[in-house]
Amino acid sequence: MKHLDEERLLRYVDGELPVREANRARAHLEACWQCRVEFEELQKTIAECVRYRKDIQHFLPSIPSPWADINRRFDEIDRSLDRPNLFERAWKGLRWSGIPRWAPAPIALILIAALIFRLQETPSVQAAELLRKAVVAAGIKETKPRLIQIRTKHQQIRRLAETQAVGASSAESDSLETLFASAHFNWQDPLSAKSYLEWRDQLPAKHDQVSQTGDGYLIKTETSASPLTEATLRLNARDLRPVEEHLQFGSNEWVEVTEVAPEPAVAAVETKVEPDESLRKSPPEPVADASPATVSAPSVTTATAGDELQVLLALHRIGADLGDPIDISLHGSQVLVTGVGIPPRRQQEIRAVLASNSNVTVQFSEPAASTAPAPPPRPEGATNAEISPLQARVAEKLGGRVNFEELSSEVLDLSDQMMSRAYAVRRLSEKFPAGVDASLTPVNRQILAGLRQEHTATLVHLTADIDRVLRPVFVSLGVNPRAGVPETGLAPEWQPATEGVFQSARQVEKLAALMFGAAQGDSSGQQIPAQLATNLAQLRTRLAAYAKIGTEETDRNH
Amino acid sequence: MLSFSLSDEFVDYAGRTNPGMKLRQDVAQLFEETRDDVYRYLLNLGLHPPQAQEGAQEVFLRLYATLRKGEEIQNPRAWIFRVAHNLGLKIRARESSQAPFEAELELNLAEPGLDPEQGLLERERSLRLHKGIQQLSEQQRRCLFLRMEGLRYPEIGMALGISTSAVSEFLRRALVRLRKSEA
Repeated sequence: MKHLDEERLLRYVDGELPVREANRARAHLEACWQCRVEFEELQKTIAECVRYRKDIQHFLPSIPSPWADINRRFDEIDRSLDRPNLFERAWKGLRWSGIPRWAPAPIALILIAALIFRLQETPSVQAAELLRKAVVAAGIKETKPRLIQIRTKHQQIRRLAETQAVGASSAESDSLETLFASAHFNWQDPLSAKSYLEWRDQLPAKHDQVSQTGDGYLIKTETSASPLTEATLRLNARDLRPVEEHLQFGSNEWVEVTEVAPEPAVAAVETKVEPDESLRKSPPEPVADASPATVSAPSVTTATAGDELQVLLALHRIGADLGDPIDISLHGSQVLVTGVGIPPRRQQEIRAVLASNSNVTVQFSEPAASTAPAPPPRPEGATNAEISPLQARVAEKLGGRVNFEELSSEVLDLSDQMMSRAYAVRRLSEKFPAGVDASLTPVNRQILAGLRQEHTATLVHLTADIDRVLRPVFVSLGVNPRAGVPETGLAPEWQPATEGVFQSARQVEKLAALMFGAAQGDSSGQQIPAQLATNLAQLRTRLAAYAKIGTEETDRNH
Repeated sequence: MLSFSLSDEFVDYAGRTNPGMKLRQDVAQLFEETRDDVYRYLLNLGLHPPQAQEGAQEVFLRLYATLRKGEEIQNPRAWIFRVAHNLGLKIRARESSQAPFEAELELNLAEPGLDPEQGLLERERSLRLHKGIQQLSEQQRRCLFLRMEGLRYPEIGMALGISTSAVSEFLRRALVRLRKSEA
């Protein structure tokens, strides 16, 4: 009889298991005393937490002053938003006047044109108003992920325009991220009117200039109240899409962000338009897929690997490619996205993010045939409070059990994040083997490379963190962290090389779990620290080589 | 425990007969129901009471402004805590010269204080759990606090910007460790 592991038990208690699995768990609990005791222990701990939450309420300070009337503050917001705003009113009026569903795109263009006409009539356009319109215009358009290039004095990064909040940073972009954070400028989505507006709105003092150039509007904001002293944003005249941005941080550092235009191959569609024209088709989408399935009549053509990639990219935007049990496959004209055991809220998010992909079928199954991949293996939890001789030794070196617990928690958290990325990059290599990769359009190859590079950069970052955390431990145990690093042994192509990186990461995860007590095993083994040090060094060497494979291939694609 | 039944209404807001007034009422109601939870959450993030109160109100003003601009929010509860979380960290960073707020819970939990009927053993148990929580990693603690506020795994994931499975794993580790601390 297979017992319920802690994670499954917890998900069962929290109602996060799919119905079929929950039924199985319930039946097992009825039959198995051992698991039932575990279950009751878990419930006890949860009850303690609930009691604790209630207890501390007595001891937390109450609010220092009565709550203000929030309606007054709503009035202020209303006043600031209700300034003459022809564009939004016109849009809302049209939106709710019973117009057919297909109308938004042409109406959006008409409204944008009307807005532009209005702006042309008004020489002193306020920066804030123009930015707000650009935010609205971005909301009207159906947005797909796009690529941007970030350039500084020292480096050049190409990445997705929007990345998720956690884990999206890389070793190279760390300093930039810090720079953006210091100025309260959104690093996750740097080239957007919304981010610019949010940054601008929080400045206590600023000076704006708005000018019209041949093909767009230029907004310039200067301030002495932020490390970002001068920002310039160029909006495309036709659809108010931000296309270029220059950010001056003090006198020494600048950052230039530009939209990466689609490859000329985008124009290789049936309409045979020029590349620039392809951008102006309604609705304008910088990374439109050139694959036949998305160009015309998607219902009668076969879905392609390009479509599959777009789906993966959309899921990536909400982090659904990092651990959620979701599978993607091609079925005739459709890209089939299946998920098992996805809670309703998450299902809603996934459906929402995929809504703009016309040839996607989403199925969240319970008893239906499960196509979900096996969830990332996690270390089996050690339930006893005892620690092994090795752990006791490490704890002693670290100055006590508390320090050991803190360190082990940090290492295991990092290792967990590392494995999410390792699984994600392995999925890319399995979905897009060499033959399929080569058949993608240049734009899709860029997207694939972008995704892979983002995962790789995060892996580099995370393994560096693990190394940093573990180094003092290795030294205190007399282990040389750099000793005996073998050759990378990676294949020259990225797909087979991925497996080498994955296996290496898996090994590090296993050893870390053994050393820090989350996994059961012969953790008294004195050789484990040395093995972990060697494997970690090997992983870092492999990742360094692997990252280069990615760069070279991207350069070729560009 | 919070009760959120407004998400569908928010999604479809602009289609209402009198959207402005209804929106105000709904956000104001949500503010009434949730502000204390948000305030407490911000205190737990280390904000001092005046900042936490101001921050809690700010979250609902941002919610109102965002909805007024016509943006759709699929899940207001997760949105509120995500914004509260980010705002809290931002305020903390801004006030980095000031030590983070600590409620001296350890001291208070150890005292017979408010509830004389609470036995010594119970107080010791609360204190042990408190110390256990203090020893959790940052992510484990955040997941646990958000779960205690009634958020589901995907909502916690959305608030913290991590995947649902990561939430599950952090919670598992947190509870295992707390169980050890009880032993």
